Amino acid sequence: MPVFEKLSQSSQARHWNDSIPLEYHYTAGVAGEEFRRELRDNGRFLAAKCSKCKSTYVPARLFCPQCFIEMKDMFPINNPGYVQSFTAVDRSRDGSKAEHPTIVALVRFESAKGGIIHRLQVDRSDQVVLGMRVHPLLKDKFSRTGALDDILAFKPLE
Amino acid sequence: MRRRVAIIGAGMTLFRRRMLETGKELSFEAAKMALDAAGLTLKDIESVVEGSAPDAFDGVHMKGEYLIDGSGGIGKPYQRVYVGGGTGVFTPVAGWWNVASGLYDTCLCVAEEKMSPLHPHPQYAFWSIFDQILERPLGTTLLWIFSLEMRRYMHKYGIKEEEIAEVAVKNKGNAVDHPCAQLGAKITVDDVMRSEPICSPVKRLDVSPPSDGAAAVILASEKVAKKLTDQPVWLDGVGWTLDSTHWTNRDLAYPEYVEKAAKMAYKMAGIKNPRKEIDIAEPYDPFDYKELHHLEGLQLAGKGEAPKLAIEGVSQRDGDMPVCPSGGLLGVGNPIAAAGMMKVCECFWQLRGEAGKRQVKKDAHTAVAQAWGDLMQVGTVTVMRS
Ligand SMILES: [Zn+2]
Repeated sequence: MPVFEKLSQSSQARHWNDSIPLEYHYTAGVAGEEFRRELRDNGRFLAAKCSKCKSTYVPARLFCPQCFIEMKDMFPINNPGYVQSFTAVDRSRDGSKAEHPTIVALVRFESAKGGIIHRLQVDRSDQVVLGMRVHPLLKDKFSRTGALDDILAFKPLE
Repeated sequence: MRRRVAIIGAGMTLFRRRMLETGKELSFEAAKMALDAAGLTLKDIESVVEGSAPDAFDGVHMKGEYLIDGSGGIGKPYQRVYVGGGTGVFTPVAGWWNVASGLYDTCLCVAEEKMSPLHPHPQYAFWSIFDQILERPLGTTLLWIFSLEMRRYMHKYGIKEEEIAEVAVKNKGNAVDHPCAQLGAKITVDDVMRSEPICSPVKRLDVSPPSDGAAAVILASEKVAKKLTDQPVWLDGVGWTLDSTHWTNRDLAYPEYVEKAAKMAYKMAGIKNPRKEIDIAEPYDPFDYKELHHLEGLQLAGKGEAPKLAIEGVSQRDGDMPVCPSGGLLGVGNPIAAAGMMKVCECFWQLRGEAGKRQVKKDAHTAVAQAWGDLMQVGTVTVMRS
């Protein structure tokens, strides 16, 4: 399909270059702070349970969005996760082709809402089966900071 | 047929320079407090309006969508409204549409702002609101406009900086009694005059701080409000208008867009003589001169005459027409959208006699809240009655 542009080159009209230089320092929040502490110190994922509807959320949140009450019951998830879905990423955000596709999965946990998106440590995507059990591969305790990159990848259970 | 709308609950978080809470968590805390005050749960809410100013503050695009969990909007008719600094008072205006139109009997209105993520300073959010070719190459900031306005205002009416400083003294002093306030302090005109110059004639103590925070109100139809409370506060008038972003064309000494918005709200509320009929005013005061500007736009003082109100005691908390008894943005803080909503909350608490140490002396029945913003081009106004 042909694409017609009124200005085929931006130099055909005088233009000005500028940028919007914004930098952010985000806080993890009240529940987020608990979540990252548990990940850093104990290498586990913190969940929160609503006392009213009994839903469990991973990662932990401050409040149940349905019942609109604070969730005070927070505990680490001990079960392994499972692959809810996955993809092989061939192109990076800027459109360039990756040398090796990255396998990325949405990992969920039994009877919990939410999940964690991360890389999956497999060689080829045909090794992945939906529902397969996975567990996190973490940095060693002393180099963890409570950030997403404390998790190197998820790895299939034998 | 338009239906009468009442405010039946209000809530707000602390206003602070930097909060640990995420925007969602701040929204939740304010919304939950308003629900509890109204004796309702989220199930009783039929529609939700979220107000939040530029996405660039929180650093989250589609901020309305992002905040929905905290605003209680999941699975309900939900909208995010935005008119820059005017957003906080515009949020209950949009909520009013929901209820006055007959569409819903209850509407939760939440306003949130988390300005602290943006570095090096929240002012950077405004980098790109100016004209790309004729203004941005100079490094224009909003402070330039405020300073030009303040100078024009002083020049046109022969007003002294010291007279304007009385507003900062009053509002920061009022905020000492506000449990959520960020910058309550007993200061003097001298302190303001000697504070660090930022963009002359604007000095450090003429300005409100950047803040994190949220505030919320619950609106209900007349039928529902009367069932739930003996003390509904009626949202009897709403008004809003916008001017062009060509701020260079504007009268820098008088906010016409506020006058138009105020007249719309007064007409709806049946107010003929605002100065006589309004007991309490919460005009937008991100700068001390702006309170004066806005009082004139709100028809609560003649042009160039607003400075007298603070000096003669009229606008003090024990005066005949208290202005910013909350402590305003100058004292309570300025998490943009939440700051405007805080003013609506204050009117609600004052009219119900629930303002505690901040309660005004006079027997108050009618209050007006107003906010202003975008590229200094919007006026948003609500008139409330007990
Ligand atoms: Zn729940």
